[in-house]
Amino acid sequence: MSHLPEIRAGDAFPTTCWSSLAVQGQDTGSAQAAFEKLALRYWRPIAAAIRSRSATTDEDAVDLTQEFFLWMLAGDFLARVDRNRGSFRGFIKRSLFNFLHDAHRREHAQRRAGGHNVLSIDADPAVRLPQSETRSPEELLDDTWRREVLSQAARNLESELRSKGKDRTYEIFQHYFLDDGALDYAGLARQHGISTSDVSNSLSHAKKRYRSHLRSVVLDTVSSETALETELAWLFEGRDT
Amino acid sequence: MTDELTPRAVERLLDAAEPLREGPGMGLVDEERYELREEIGRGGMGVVFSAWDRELERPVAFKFLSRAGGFSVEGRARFLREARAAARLAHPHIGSVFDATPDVITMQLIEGSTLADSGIQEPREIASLMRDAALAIHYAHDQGVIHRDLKPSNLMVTPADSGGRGAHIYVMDFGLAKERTPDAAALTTSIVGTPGYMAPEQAQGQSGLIGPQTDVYGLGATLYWCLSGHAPIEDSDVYRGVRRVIEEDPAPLRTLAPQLDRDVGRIVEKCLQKDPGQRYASALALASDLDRWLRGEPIQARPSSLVYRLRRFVSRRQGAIVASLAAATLAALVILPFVVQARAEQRLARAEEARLSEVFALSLKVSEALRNARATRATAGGYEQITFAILEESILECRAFLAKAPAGEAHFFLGQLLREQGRADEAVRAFDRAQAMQPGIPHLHRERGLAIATLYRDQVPVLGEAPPVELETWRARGLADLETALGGEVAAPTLDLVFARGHLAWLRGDLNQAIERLREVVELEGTHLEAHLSLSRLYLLVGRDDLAVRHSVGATDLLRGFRPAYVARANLGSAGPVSVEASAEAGSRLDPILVHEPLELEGLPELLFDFSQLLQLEPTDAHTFGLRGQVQARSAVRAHKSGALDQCVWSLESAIQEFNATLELQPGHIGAQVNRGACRALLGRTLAATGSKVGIPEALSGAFDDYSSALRTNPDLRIAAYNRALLEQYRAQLARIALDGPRAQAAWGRAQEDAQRAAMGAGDQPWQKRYTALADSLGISD
Repeated sequence: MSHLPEIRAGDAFPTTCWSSLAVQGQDTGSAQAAFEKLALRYWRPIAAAIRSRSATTDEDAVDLTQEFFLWMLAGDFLARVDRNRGSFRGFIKRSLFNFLHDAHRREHAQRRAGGHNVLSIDADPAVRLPQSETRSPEELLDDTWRREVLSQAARNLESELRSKGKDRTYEIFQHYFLDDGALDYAGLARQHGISTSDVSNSLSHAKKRYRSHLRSVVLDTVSSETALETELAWLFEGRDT
Repeated sequence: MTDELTPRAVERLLDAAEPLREGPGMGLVDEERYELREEIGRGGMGVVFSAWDRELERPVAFKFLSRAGGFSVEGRARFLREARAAARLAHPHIGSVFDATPDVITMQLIEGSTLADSGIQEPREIASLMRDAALAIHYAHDQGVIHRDLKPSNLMVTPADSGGRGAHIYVMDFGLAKERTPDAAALTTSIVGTPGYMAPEQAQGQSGLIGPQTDVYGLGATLYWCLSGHAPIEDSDVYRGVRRVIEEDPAPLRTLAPQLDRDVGRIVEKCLQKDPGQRYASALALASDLDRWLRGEPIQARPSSLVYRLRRFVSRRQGAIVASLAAATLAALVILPFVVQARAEQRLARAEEARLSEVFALSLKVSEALRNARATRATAGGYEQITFAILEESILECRAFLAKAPAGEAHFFLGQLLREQGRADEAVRAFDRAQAMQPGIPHLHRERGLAIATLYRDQVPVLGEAPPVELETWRARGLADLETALGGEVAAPTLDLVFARGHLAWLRGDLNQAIERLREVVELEGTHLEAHLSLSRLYLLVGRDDLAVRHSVGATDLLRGFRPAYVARANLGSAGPVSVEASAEAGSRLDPILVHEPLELEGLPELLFDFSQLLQLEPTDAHTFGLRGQVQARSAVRAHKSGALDQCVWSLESAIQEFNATLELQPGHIGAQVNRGACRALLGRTLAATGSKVGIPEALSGAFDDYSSALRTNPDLRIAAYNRALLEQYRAQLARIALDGPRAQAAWGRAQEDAQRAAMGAGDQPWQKRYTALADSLGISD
């Protein structure tokens, strides 16, 4: 018995950022818009990988990242995205290592992109990119990417809760999950002047909403149900079951 | 918040997100309430899981949506508006939506397959299923909801069962399947879904043109697929497909399925017109045409003049009169002989001629409505809101007609429609007016007699209440009408004739003869609600409460959202104690009144919802309160049996509130009195079992008062005596435990007395044994 048929050719995966980029293979304008949105969200993991592999300073890495985006926009990559497969992260990885291997195309792209300044990373001049002696650029990219996903979901949670006037719920979530202090329920209850069961209820609500936001953030970067599952499982990779 | 997460924060956030690891849906539902079972499907919209709702004890399906990403604030608000609209739809052919968030839709679990996977290929079966789907869609349109994404994978079919019930179709994803606009990707939304089933106005993005006819296109496209195995437009390239939907006509159905009947091809073609205005005007019109085709009648999609249609209609009716009359069309037939006869009288004034032709046109519409209403009832196996709606539309038409030109015939038609809707009292008034204005309308006596018989039936006391004063008047009037109508009747015994004879026998006082006739009716047409209701009441009167229960359950099965029928059920509900008692054999230490569950409890929340709806319409309907109380009481018994004592107490308190309302509105309502007593008694016992220190004596003495006042109204009400005996037996036990000898002795004495009272009197009813057994166990020998 089944409620829904298998995905067939012609059934588009519901519109997500990534799938809209992919589906719009023939429409460069909106493909570009979708790419830009995702690229700007995930520039940091990309820069971290570039820093570890090809750059000597953080500043260089940011510049190269910018160059990478221009290279992507100038080439015909976006038009040839295989919309039925994979995630934005996988796509970026494949493209990034092509880019780093391909000095010739880089220069070509720079010429073609010319005055292209649509996509501009707004990085703090004092940006500090994560570095590691022991991890490969790919591992660095994955690790930073994971943090980006987790914190994006937390930001979305914050704006949801604050827009609903549930500032305290968010603050409790922040203290408990994001801050380094070791507050327990009782400590949080004292700090906010509420009962421990109120703390527990707030956290339980915030956790549920956090999961929903996390799923949405990941959903933006995949184009099929299977890819969503794979990408979610990847988040937890390396943890004990 | 800082952009940098500390390693500890990463770990903690992953802890919080842990349930998502098991799958994209986990962590989005209340895991304490729902037990997720298995994945049952996946596709464009997301993954579907079956699950068990521990709270309401029913299976549900979760659809975890994949398109939550990128929801803007407005997008979210619109989603919730749509979800609310979808959740309001209650129709036997629409998969119910219980709850919806942008992440997950909770809905009715349908144990079947999609139409796409069902393997159904027989054109008649397809047409019949799609007619039901079209009726469901029409209902939704009435509620202001457009589906927008009808296709074979959005329709579910449950297979035919061994009990003779045919395959049943459900329209899924109502109002939720339509495109929504995530903020980042507005342009891509128009191609979500499969272009093959998309209407041209959707493909062009002309959202202003999207309306009921968009769904008519979707239904036609689905029919096309079912009959040919192909979507109207198939293309591996989404863009080209969308363009072709706008520009190309689908291949004529008969080129793909040459052996297919020409008329079905026409119906599908009419649905698939590029211009919405050229399609069927409504899903109801499509349903009617499919129904006509199924009955071998001329379809509307066929181009034909009005003259042709009138000729068809008349010749078919005359043919039918000569032949044996088909039960389902009798209501329509009642109208025509009048017209034919009137015409035969000739020498009519010109004005009269003109008036008659207007009446004739109205009679066509009314007979169509009656026929459609009966067809939906017969094919769906019960009453549906659509049945009600079809009749209501025609009623409004008659009233409009009457406002312009008073005519006895129009009153007569109105009476027929009202009777079919279950509004017998209004029907009788309409028939009276018809006769006053235009004596001699054929079949008026039979129609009115039956309406009066219904009024009589619903007021016959079954619990020993005093009969209402007008009861005897109803009996005499009904008898006169039916004797006039049936006296000279020599026609072949059609279903309606048998039905009328059954009621004639009843009014004459021959209950056994009445039962025999009505049983014939039910055997011929199992979905005859009125016959079930009458049989249920008759069996109560002859003391066969077990059979009464069976027919009341039969009637309940047929009701399904038919508002007047709920009122009828509420009437039945007032006969509750006796019916319930009939099945008390099952045996339990609980008061017998609460043991049996004649109503299906699976649908409990819906039932309660229906009652609330009904009460909004009729806030002072004592019966509805009483019935709702009974449902709560049965829910309490169920909770009690499963050991959920807190829930049991809660349900009992609700039930008692309901009976309070009944008794306030209708003091002396004996059913409510006995039922409230039983609830109070069980409340006392349950409180004692939970170790409560308060409320027990009050509940038990309240029960005692209830039973006593019921017995004051009707001293022969043995169920009340029996219940009071059980209560006093229990109170004696409590007193004994409290070492209060005298009090125990007194209660024991009262218990003995009541048990004896219950056991007295002859009767081979199944529960007689229980009365006797109780009397024996209390040490009373005859």
